[in-house]
Amino acid sequence: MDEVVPGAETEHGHVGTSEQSENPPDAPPASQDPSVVLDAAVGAAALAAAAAQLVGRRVGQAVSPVRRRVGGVLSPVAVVILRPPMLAERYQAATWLEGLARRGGQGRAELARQLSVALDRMVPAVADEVLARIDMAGLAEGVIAEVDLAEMIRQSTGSVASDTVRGVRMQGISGDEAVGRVVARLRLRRPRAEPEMTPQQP
Amino acid sequence: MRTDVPVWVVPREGLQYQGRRAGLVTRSIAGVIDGVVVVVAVLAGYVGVNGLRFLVRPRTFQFSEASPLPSVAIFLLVLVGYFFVAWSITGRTYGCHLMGLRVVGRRGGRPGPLVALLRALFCVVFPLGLLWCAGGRQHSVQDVVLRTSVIYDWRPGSPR
Repeated sequence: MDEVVPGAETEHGHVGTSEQSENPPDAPPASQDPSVVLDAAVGAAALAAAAAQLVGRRVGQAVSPVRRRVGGVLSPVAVVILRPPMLAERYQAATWLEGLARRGGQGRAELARQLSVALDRMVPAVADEVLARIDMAGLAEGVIAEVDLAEMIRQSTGSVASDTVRGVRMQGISGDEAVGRVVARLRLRRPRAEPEMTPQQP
Repeated sequence: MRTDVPVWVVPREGLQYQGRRAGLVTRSIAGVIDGVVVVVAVLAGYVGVNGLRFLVRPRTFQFSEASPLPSVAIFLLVLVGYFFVAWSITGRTYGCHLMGLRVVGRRGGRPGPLVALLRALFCVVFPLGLLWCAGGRQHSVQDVVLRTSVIYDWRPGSPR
C-alpha cells in the first residue's frame, strides 16, 4: 500500500492535510462545500449524542440507589401535584395533561391519515414516471440473454422437436452462407468487364 | 412503461442472424415443406369429398377419378390461396415458420393483401425466380419486382 505523504498531490487532487500546509494558520478559511459543513454538523451531533449517553449512563449508575429511595418519597408528592384534592377534577393538572395527550393523539392520527392520502396520490405517479424512464423490455431482454432463457425453457420442457427445428434452421443458415460464398467466388473468377473494355456497337 | 417492444426468446446462436435476408437453401426447404403441406391438404380434401359422397350415396359410391390436369390446377390454386392467406395474415407460411423465415414488405412490416396475392401468384407461376436469391443481395425475382424480402425471424407472432 502506498504511503500517503501529507501535503502531497495526486492525480485526484490533494491528499491528507495539503490545504492546511498551503494555507497559513491566520488566513481566513477557504469557502467550504455545503456538504462538508453538513457532514461536520452531523458528526458534531453524533458526538454530542454519544457524550450525553455516556454521561447519562454514568449519572444513572451513580444515583440509582438514591433514586430508589427518593422515588418512594416523590411518588405521593407527584400524585398530590397532579391531583390536588382541594381542586375540582376539571382544574387538576392531570386532567389538562390527559386533554393535551388526547388532542395530540388525534393530531397524530390525522397527520398519519393525511400522509397516507398524500402517499396514495404520489406513489403511483412517481412509480409510473420511474417505470417510464426504465427500459423494462431491454432490461428483460438483457436478463434473458444473460441466463439463456430459451435454453432453460427448452431443457425444462424437454422438447426434442424444438431441438430438431433449431438444428434444421441453423443448418439452413449454414447452407445459405455456403451458397453465398460459392457465388461470391464465382463472381470473383469472372469479373465484370469494365465499361471502357466493352466493344462499341456499330 | 414500454410494453410494445417484444422480448425475444431466440437461442443465442441464432441471434446474430435475426433480420438478415435468407438465402436459397433455407427458402427452398421452406418451399418444399409448403408444397408437401398443400399436397397433404389437397389429398385430405379429395378424401373428404369422397367421404361425403359415400355418406350421401353409399350403394353407388366409387372414388372420383382424379385426372392429372384438374388435379394440378387445384393444387396450384390451393397453393396460391395458402400463400396469400399466410403471407397477408402472419407473413409466414408453415414452411417459413419451421425454417424461421418471414416475408416482409418494403418497410419491414407485413406485406399488404395485394402484394401478398401478387407474390403468391408470381411464386406459383414462376417458382424458378427463387434461384435469383442465390445472388449477393439474396432477393428472388418476386422480391425484386414486388420489393419484398424474406428474412430470418425466429420470433413468434406477427410483425408490427
